Amino acid sequence: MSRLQEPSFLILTALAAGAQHGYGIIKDVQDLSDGAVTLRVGTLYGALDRLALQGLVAIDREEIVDSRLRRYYRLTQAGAKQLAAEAARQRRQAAAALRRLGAIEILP
Amino acid sequence: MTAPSDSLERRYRRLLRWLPTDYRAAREDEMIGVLLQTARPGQRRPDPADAADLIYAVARVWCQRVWCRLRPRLPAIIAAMALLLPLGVALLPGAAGPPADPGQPASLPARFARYSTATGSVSDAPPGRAIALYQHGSEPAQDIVLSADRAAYRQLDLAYAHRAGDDAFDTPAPALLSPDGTRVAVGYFQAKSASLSIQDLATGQVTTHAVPAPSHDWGAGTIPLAWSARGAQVAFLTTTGYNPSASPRSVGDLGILEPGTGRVRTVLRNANVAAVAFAPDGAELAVQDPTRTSLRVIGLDGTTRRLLELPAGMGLPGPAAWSPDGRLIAVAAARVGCPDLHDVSGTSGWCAAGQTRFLDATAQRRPVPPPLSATSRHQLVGWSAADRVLLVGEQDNAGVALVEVGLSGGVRQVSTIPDGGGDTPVGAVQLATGLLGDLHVREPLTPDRGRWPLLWRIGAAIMVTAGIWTALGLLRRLRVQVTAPPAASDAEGSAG
Repeated sequence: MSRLQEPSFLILTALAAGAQHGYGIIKDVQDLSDGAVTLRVGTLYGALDRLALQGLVAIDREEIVDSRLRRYYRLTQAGAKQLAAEAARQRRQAAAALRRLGAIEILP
Repeated sequence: MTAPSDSLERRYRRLLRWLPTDYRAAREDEMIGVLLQTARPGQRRPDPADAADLIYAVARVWCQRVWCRLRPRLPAIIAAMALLLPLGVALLPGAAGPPADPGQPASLPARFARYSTATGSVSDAPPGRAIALYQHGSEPAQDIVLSADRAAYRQLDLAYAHRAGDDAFDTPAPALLSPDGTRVAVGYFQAKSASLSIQDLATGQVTTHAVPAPSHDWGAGTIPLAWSARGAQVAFLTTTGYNPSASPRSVGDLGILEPGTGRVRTVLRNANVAAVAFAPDGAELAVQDPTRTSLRVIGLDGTTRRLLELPAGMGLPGPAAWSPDGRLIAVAAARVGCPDLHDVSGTSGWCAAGQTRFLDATAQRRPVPPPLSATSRHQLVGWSAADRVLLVGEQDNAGVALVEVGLSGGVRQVSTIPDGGGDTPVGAVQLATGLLGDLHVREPLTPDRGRWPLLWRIGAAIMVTAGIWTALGLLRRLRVQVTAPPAASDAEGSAG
């Protein structure tokens, strides 16, 4: 299982709460990263294309709102599995880092 | 009036028009919706960062469509292109300099440019007709050609290619500038066979002519000695091959090459020749045998026409000795310890004389001008008129000065060549003697040194390659823009 890049990880995390459309994903990723990561539209759809190709996300439904197409994406089973694996890996690494930082007493 | 959102949408659609048709049909409206939701109120134009991101997205989609199959090999392809493109540019031949306006008089700068290792070569970027050829620096010295029409300085790479070996300090091969400045003749100190090369300074083209030479285990040396005034003939000496810094040679066969036809004839065999000068009409040669006390004037068939008695210890100062009216031949006191008899043709630095006298070239004992005396060493390098000569002379240990001296008095400094210190002496100064009659002195301009030398260009290509790799790395990082947390955003539209 390949590692996820940060934007892909954040997109899958956003979709873990439920199906979302493009703008919703951008806002959610911004919130999830405390404003540190702003996905641009070209980058978002590049990532969605790639994740769809890998079977990690899928189109959930389409709506027309104010005469504009709005397409919702959802996490697939494979996507949830990969996100869980990546989250676990990051948690292990973060825990290891925190343990060592605690040992040298620099945490607030 | 068009609403801002309409204007923005139109511009976004213009960018997305470059997507493949089917992708555009599937995604365009969806992407436009999101783009407009992220826009600021009143925004009419895409943010440059958004535009760049969309262009990148378009390129990515096309990449996936057209050559995604190459993707596994992409790093290797990019690496090869990043190396080969700059290298290709570095190795491409340079362009020739602008052609000289035939009506434009030749000119010299009031001060020559300093020595520089970044000076490009004649072959890479031909400078056009030249006014001067001189040596700058040492071990190895640069043979520098200076344009007669602009501040273009070039290394005569052909002289370096024909250079003597390590044991002769890589001394550049003997080279001689033609009177009209359009060509140089370049020989060899030691080569397997004798040949004389003529390089065109406007095109860089080299024509090599095989010439007869005495057979010897040491190979052959070919020393160009003098051009005729119209450039139709080059007198040269072929010797056994030799090390110019250890054992100067002056015994060999004196020949004449006609560069236009390639015809070669031997004029004198097994002769001792220190220097020669053509008569202005090209029909006679003054030949100096360093073992004799007279100067021999010969026809081009080698027959002696007359002998001119030489003052004690004096000889021809070089190929520019004969006055343009044919009346006078200059002779000069040879410097003691002069390292090479054929110094004036650019073989081993500056070898100057201390005094210049004049002989009646017709041997009819007609009156001649008084000797030119100078406190410093000097050497005659041309005539600007029948009664004015151009000399190069030492200048307070700061290079050399080029001065114009009237035979009946009057001295004018024309130019200087800085030596830049002990490692960059100036020597073997030659001028295009046919361009001196209407010579102008121009203000020194920023030197045009042509394309960098090859090794410099290869080094630059490697730097560019490293730069491309750094830029590619940065581009990968910029795909996800990491920013500081935004202020209360005006792009907060309804999420629907």
